[in-house]
Order: sequence, then structure tokens, then C-alpha cells
Amino acid sequence: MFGVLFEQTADGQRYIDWLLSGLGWTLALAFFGWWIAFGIGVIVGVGRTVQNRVFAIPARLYVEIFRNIPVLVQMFLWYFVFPEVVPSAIGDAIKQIPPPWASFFPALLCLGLYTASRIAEQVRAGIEALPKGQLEAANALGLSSYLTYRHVIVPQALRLIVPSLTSEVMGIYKNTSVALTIGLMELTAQARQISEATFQTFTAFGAATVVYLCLALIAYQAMALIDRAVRIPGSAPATLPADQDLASEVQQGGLPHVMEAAK
Amino acid sequence: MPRATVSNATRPAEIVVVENVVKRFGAFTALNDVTLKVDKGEKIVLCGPSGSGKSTLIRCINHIEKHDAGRIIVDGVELTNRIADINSVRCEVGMVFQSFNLFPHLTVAENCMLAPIRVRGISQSEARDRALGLLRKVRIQDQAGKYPAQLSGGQQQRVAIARALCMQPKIMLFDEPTSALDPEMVKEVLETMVELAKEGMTMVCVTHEMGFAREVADRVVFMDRGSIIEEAEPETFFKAPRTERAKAFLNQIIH
Repeated sequence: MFGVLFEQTADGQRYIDWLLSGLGWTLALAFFGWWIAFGIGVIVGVGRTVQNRVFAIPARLYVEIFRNIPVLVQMFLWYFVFPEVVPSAIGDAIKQIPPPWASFFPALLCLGLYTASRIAEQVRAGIEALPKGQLEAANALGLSSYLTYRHVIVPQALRLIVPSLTSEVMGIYKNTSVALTIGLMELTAQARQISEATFQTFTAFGAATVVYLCLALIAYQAMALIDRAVRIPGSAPATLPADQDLASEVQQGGLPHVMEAAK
Repeated sequence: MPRATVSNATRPAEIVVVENVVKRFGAFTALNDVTLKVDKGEKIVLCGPSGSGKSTLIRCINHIEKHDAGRIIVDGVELTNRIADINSVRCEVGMVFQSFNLFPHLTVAENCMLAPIRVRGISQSEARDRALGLLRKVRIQDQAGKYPAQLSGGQQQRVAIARALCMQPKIMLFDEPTSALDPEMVKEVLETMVELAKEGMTMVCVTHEMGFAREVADRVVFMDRGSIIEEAEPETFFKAPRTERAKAFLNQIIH
């Protein structure tokens, strides 16, 4: 069924090379976009929880603006509108950027900033879920607000939200497909190109679908590994302590018990 | 930053001065014109029915709760809204909470080292030595590498005491340190506190452990409905409380 992917294209490559090049752009966009989103998301999320209005109000505005405009519209804003509203020298410089990068950078900015607003809300939820005593204990030790966030609040909040960040990781790489609208030849765009060149629509988009699904699985597994790696010892899932109890019972008191039963 | 000293208002022996303090939560008055002075080395037990304001009072002493009126002077520094003053006071005041409030993502040793390194600015190795020394003192040094969730409640509370002591505070505040513990773990925590008291630490304890009060307290302060009703030496207070409310309270807690 996917045989057509290994046929020669007009430019001497194979169709699968087109697909792989698209995958490369998709991964690059998702990977670098994720770190932008994570960095800004944590800062804005913290900003949402501080008492100081100088930080809290801009953080609130950020979240409301970036979360509530459709990704597609944001993509167009960064690509078409942004170069026009900045001073013309900068705008001209932006328009001079050569083709793949001219689409890549606006797409990166768009996805990074959009996902950041979603991560910020997760971070805020994580911080607000922490017991109040943590903040009080840090205060009582004389830690400043910065030190309290840096060493006590944020490390715990991030651990708490790893499972819900999984859906943000999946979200950002799925949203990379929107970048095709501003001309980035990522996975979906390449699939469409293959479909147009070969008329094998089912094969082209079927292949893209399989690749997206595999990426989702990998992302899910990776996040599960991270979740396990950063889990605080002693605070394992609810089923584990019961298992341990059972094991220690068998070790300590189990044997005489069994012998008694045998009698 | 130089500390705003108000030395003429306090005798040198007084380490905590609470004067006419009022604290409200909305329409509810938690502290109503409370005045309390604590001398260096003194051990005070605060008791009273729940909702009487005893926890609120000690939480005001390190500004975890902000008082609405009156003055609080700790170690010569008046607590205002100046962050620098508040943090410098908090360094000198150790606090132990009912619910331990250890940092679950840090090991026992790291819990004890965080503030000394970041706030006092001492070196990693010095902080470690100090932490291990104090953990030995609370008889828990072999658990230094474990995480709080791997310890029993009594062990966690002893770590919390060691963590506070690592800042080398001049005064220790205890907010019902044994109330969240299983009965068999109360003793180990109280023993630690008695030891600390015998070393001369200034202590203000909110507790219903009357045995502890008898053994170490210089003064028992009885509060009810946001006011200090009675202050006396433990023997006097337990044998012959002057007020009806104190009598009723003692009847209820001594079975």
C-alpha cells in the first residue's frame, strides 16, 4: 500500500524523503517550540500566582490573549501582520529572511507563545494545588519570595503537573501542522504534496497519520518515563505501599503464619 | 541593610514584645488587645480552647500572619511591612508546625541545609555538618538521605525541629507540634523539645501536653476568645486556676 512512497520523484528523490524532510521540520518546530513554551509558561504561570500586581496583571493578560485567539489566526498574525506593524527597518529585515526560515521562525514563535499560555495555566494550577504550609514553612525559614519559588514551590508544582503536560507536548506537535498555512513544508504539507504528485491521497495522508500516531506514542512514553524519574521517593502511586506491606508481611511474619496454618 | 532597632523600648532581656496586638479575619477578631513579653531563655506554654487565638498569636510573632494593630518587636526589630526586617526576624525565629511542613521533594538533609545555605550564606559543607549534627541531636541522623514521605510522623516532626535549629534561631515557636501525631510518637517529639528547653532555648509552645508544660514551662499563658485570660507558673495554673474559664478548660483536657 505504501509502495508508492519508494518511487522516484521528479527531482530524483523518493517520496519518502519528502515525508522524512517534513517530519524533520515538524520535529524541529515542536522541539524548539516546546522549550520556548516551557520557559515562558513557567515564568507566566508563577506570575499568575504572585501577590504583586506588576507581575500578576501582565501574566493574566498574556494568558488571556494567547490562549483565546485561534492558533491559525495567531499564525497569520505573526507571518503577515507582525512585519507590517514593527518599524519598517525591522519589518524589511524580516521579509529578507530566505524561504524555509521565513516560515519557520513565525511558526516557532506562534506555537511557542501559544503553548506557553496553556502551560502557564497548568503551572498555576500546580502551584495552587500545593498545601499552604509549604509556603509558610519557607517563609518561616526566612527564604525570600524568589528563593521560595525557586527551591520550594516550582520544583513541586512541576512534578505535580507532569501528567497534564503530556497533553501539551502532544498538543504542540499536532499544532505544527498549522504551519503549512504559512508555507512551511512540514509533515502535513509534504503529505499533501505527495498526494498531489501521485494522486495516491490515501497513501500520502495514511503515511502522515501513522507518523503522527507514532510520535504521540513516543511522546506519551517519554513523559511517563520523566514522571517516574522525577517522582518523589515515598510518594509513589497508591497501589505501591500496599504491595510493599504485603511483601514485608510475607518476609517478616508470613512464614510462621503459614506453618501455623499447616499444623 | 541596618536594622531599625528600637532598643529603648525593650529591656535587653526581652526577646519578644507583643503590645496591644489586634488581629482580625474579616469580621472575626482573632486577637483582641494581646500583650505578651518573653524574656531570653524563657519557656512559655500557650494553651486554651480551639479558636482562642493561640496559634494566631505565635504566627504573628514571625509575621506569617500580619497584625492589624499594636506592636510586635522581636530581637529588637519591630515587625512592620518592610520585607528586609521581616526576613531578618524570621532568620532568628524558628518555627515548628502542627503538620510538619517538610519539603517533600528534598531529602531530610537537604531540608535542613536549604535555608542556611541560601539565606545565611554558609558553605555547602558547613551546612551539611551542621545539619548532620542537629539530626544526630534529634536522633535521626541515619535517615538523612531519606525523603520525608519515607519517615513516620514523629520522625518528620523531629526533622522539622532540626531544620528550624539549623538556622541557629534565638527563639523557637511550636504550633501544636504533637497534635497531628499518633499517640506513640508524641513522646519522642516531646523528649526532643524537653532537651532543647534544658539547653536554654527560648521557647513559645502552643500545646495541650500538660505534662510538658509542668516539666519545662516557666509560665503558662491561657487564652480564650482572642485574649490572654490568665498567666501563671505551671504549678499555680494547674492547681489553682483563678478564672472560671481556665477551670472549665482544664476540666475538659485532664480526664
